[in-house]
Amino acid sequence: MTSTKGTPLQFDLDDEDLKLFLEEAEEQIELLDQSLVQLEGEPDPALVQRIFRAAHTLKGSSATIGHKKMASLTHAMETVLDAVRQGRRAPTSEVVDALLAGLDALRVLANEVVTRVDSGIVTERLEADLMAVLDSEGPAAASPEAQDVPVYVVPAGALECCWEEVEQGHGIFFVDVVVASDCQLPSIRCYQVLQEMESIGRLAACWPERDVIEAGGGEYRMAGLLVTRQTEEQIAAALKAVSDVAAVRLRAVPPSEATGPIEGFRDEPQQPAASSSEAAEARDEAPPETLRGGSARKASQSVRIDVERLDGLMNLVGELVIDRTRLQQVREQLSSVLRDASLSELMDNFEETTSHLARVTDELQEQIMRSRMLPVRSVLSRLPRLVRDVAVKCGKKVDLVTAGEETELDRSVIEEISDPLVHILRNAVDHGIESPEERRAAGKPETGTISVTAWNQETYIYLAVRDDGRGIDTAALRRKVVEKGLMTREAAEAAPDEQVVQWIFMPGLSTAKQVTDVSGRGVGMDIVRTNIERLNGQITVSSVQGKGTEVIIQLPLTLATTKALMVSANGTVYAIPLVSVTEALADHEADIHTVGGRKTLRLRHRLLPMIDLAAALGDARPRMLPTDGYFVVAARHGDRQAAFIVDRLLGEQDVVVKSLGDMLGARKGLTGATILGDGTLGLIVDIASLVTEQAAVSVPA
Amino acid sequence: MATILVVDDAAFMRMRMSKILTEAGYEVIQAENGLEAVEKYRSAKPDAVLMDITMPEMDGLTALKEIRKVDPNAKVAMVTALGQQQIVLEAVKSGAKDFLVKPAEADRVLAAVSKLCN
Repeated sequence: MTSTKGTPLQFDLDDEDLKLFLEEAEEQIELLDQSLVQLEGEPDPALVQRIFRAAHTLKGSSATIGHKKMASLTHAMETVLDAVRQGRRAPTSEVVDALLAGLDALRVLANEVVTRVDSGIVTERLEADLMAVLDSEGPAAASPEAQDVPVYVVPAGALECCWEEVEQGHGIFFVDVVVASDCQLPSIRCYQVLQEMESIGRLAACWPERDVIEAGGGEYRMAGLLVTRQTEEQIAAALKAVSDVAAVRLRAVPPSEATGPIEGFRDEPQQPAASSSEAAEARDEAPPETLRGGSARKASQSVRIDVERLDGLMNLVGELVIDRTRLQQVREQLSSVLRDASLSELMDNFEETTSHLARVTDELQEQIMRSRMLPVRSVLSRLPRLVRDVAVKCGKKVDLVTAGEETELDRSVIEEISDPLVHILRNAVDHGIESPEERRAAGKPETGTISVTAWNQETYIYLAVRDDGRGIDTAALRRKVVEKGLMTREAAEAAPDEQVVQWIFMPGLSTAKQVTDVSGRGVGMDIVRTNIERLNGQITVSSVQGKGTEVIIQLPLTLATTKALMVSANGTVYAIPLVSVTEALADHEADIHTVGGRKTLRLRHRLLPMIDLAAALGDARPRMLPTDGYFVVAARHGDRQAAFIVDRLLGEQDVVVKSLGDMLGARKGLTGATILGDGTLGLIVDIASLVTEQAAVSVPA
Repeated sequence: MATILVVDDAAFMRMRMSKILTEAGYEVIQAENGLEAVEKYRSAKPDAVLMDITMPEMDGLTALKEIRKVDPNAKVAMVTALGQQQIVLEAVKSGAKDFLVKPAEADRVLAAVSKLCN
């Protein structure tokens, strides 16, 4: 076969369609990505149904725009899923592998719609693999015959309203209706069926109950107890007239049996049919998704908003916050100047308005910040696939448990947190969890467990990655730091274990016995820490040898604003993120020494190098410290600390972070800038980089 | 052949629907909003209506109710985007015979229309 890579492609859609197509495709692909790995084993029928529907939707939309390759690949995937759904094929790991391979190709194919260039993907082989999986003599899934016959309970007195009709000879029918699995608003079809039943008779009872159907729970199946003079054929014909009704089954129930529990219809095992899914649709009898009670799925009360628009709003609010602060300053200045009684009413008015404006602005900022928040689910949902892939590569058995998917954080943080988290997880699988043999020998279950938990506390989000693996080898770490000349043997031996485990964040250390293609060579935890601290976050690790390791990441909820200590140095205002500040003191309170020709601050039994903040940030103007004394701000990055010399402390403040790119271009030692109440620029200090480079700029005595 | 009234404020959707329907041999008339839909229903008495929900001037739900006042047997199918489930339910309660979810595939549109016309 000659490659068609690079050939221009044409699709039947305009820009408006394109956006819709992509949004929808992305949604379905994401859904498949999250759920395919859960298919293995004994999946929840509702899950299988959801996956099937996603593949079906993708098939439909790609066929509509004339994307032949994508349509035929999704068709093959759908065929396999249909077999799984009907219990004709057990979802073994080879089934899941074939589907995952298809999914990877789907992403590329969906992207072709944007690039309009053939990516050269050959779908025929993937389709053949999928068909091979289908044909191979795999064990069938648990036979549907083993399923219990569903039982419905007729509420007491349900038939009371209809005795008159029954006495007149109307029949009582138990009716079971299934809505086609690709129907997008199944509840409404159920409601139409309900309406139809009421138009031809009296509905004594229905499952789920009427208000559940009206609430739009998304059920694909309903049943009812219908009292009517119509015949079975007439009833079936009337109900089948409702669009998307895939199957109607009914039987007459003698009045004596029409109370209490009543048996429904058993789901017949499907005969393997031609793989055409059109045929599959024609006889579509979806397994029941939810029968009783309200379904967990609720109609979503949300709209899509372009991220750029939200960013724009956030920027505008940032401007408002600045104006608010400026107004408050003006008010203070005015009230100190204008003591005239005749103006007091005017002043009161002014004060009231500014403080109202301040409250509203705060609220607005908070609301917009909230609307930029996304649940961490989008990050966590990618992890099962990752863990599975890595575990297969390393020959490990690992279960991943995630919790707290609902925890929300700013989308800017979500984008940044994914890579570090992936890295920590790879490490946990590759280095943390032992091989099945090793685990058995240690008396542990062969399958290791890794849990990822997210939660909120105050203005931070926490992510904990816990494994029940071998723990961090502290003896090996001690040996490594000495070998690399990072520490003396005595110091390494003297350090307590809790401190030793933190050394995994040191640059250039890796304790893995051999380099694997999974975690790479020691690149890693130091970069992870640097990235997290760049986000004003913190990372800590704890470990018990033989029992496991826990890594906890703490991050601010948003990167758009940050709490900072405002200082001035050489006429410029700087914001030092509060998370890094450990202490701030006046020079006369500080215990300052000169060690090796450099000024050093002695603070809580540690000697911190003293750095002039303005000079360290490249302020080359002549420097004069205030004659009436200066201040020292101690700040940390990981376990390194330094003390920064500044002229004045200006207090704590929430600052709106703007990227320097917008204003000045990137500058060393700064993470961004903020506009101050008086309209001037404040620079946000990157403590991580300054503390790391401390030695170069220490103040000579 | 039956006449279908296509109501949608988006010209593209009207065009797409009209194309599908005329190719299948239907006569198509169009309206840009609910108000125009009611007027056209009155004057042209179409056999079936495909009614968008969110429109300026008069929304689809109101237009449905108005048309049902003019003709209690009017055959109206709502055309909806996802996320309007409660409105669709309300429409079904108010006499809409069917609904289509956007973007609807051609065979679904034709199946719904032929059902309405019978």
